[in-house]
Amino acid sequence: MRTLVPAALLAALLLAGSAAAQPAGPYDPVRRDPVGAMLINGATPYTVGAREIELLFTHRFQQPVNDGGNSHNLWGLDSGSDVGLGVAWGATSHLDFSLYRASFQEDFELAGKFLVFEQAPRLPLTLAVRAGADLLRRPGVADPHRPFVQLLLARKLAAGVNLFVSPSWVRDTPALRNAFNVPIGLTFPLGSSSLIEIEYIHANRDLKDSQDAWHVALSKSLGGHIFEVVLGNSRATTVDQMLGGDSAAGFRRRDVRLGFNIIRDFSY
Amino acid sequence: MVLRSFRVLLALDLLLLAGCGTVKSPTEPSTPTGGGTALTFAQIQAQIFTPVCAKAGCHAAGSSPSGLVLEAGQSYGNLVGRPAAENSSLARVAPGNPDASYIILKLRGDPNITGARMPLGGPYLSADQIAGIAAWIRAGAPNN
Repeated sequence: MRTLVPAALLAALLLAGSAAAQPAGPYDPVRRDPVGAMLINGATPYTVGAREIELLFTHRFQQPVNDGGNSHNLWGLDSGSDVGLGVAWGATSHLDFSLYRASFQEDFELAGKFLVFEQAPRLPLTLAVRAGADLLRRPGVADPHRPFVQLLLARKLAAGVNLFVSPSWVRDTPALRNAFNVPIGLTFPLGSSSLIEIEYIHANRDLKDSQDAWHVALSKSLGGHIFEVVLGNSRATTVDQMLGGDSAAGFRRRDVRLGFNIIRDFSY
Repeated sequence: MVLRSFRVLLALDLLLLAGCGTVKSPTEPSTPTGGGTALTFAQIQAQIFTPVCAKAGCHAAGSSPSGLVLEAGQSYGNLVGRPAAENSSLARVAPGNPDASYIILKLRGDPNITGARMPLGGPYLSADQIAGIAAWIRAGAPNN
C-alpha cells in the first residue's frame, strides 16, 4: 500500500499533464481500445473518467441453445432471461463507483474502482483495484451479503489486442465460503471498430461440481455505444455468481447461451 | 525488460489459475420433501397438471414457456430426465431424487429458482400435494 499511493500520485500527475496534440511522453497512457468498465461480465481496470457516467444493460437468455429443442420455442429464445442494469460514475479520472442490479436473486453489486496507473511507454500494464459487495435481496438466499476484492490488470499488446488478468476473492458464493480465482480476458480486433472478446474463469479445484465458465462476444462501437453479442455457458454476471464456477442458476461446460450487452457513456 | 516482467506476471498467474476456496458445510434442505404418499403419474396429471397447470398462457400447447407443455400425453416426456430451461444443471424431474428435481424447487419456492414460484401467483399446491409428487419422484418417477 505504501508503494501504491506514491505510484498512483505519480501516475495521476503524469496523466494530468498529457495532451493529445503533444508527442507521447514515457508516462502518457497508450490509447485505449473501445472496451468499457466491464469487458463481457468481468470488470476491466479502466475507470469511466471524471464527469462521466457509464450505463450498462445486460441480457442473458436462460435456456441454452443446445437444450432449446425445436422451432416451437425458437431453440430457446422464447425462454425467460436474466436482465442486468448498471451505472458507473466517475468521481475522478482514477476513481469510479458502480451499482449493478442483476435480476437473478435480485443481486445488487456495489463497487468502487481505483485506477492505480495506466499502461504507457514506460509502464508495462494497467493496474486497478476494485472492491465492493454483492447484496442479494431474494428472500431465503443463504449468506446474502458477499464482499469481494479484485486486482485488475491489463496489457495492450497491439491495436485491439488486450490481455486482462483479474485475481479476485469473494466471501460466499452459492457453495463456497471463500473463493479465489483468476478470470482472464482477451480481445482481438475485427475490422476498424469491432473486437472479439473472450473471457474464461477456471473451475474451482476445491469444489467437485464447479464448472469452467467461458464467454465470447462480438463487440461493435457505434454511435457512442458499445454493442456486444454474447455467447457463453453461464448466465452469471456478478462476482459472487462467477468466481466459484457454482452459479446458483446452474450451468454446464457444454451449454451455449445467447445474450447481449449495451454500454453507453455520457459526459456531464 | 517490459516483456520479461509481463512474462513473469503471466507465469505467476498460471500458477494461480485454478480457482480455490473453502467449501461451505452442507445444510438441510429448506423444506423436507420426504414422508408423503406417492401419487401415481395419472393422479398427478388428473389432479394437478390438467386442472392447475395446463391452461392457456401457462403450460398448454402453443403457449408454454420453454416448451414445457403439461397436457396429458405430453407432460411425462417433457418432465422426466429433461433439463430445466431455467437451470440446465438440474433435470425438471430427476428420477429418485426430488431435491435435485427443478419442479420440486419451483413448487416449493426455493430461493435458488429463477423466476417465480409455481403455480404463478398462487394459490400454491398444498404441502401434501408437493410431498406426493416428491414421493413419486423418489419412487423413480414411473409412468404409472
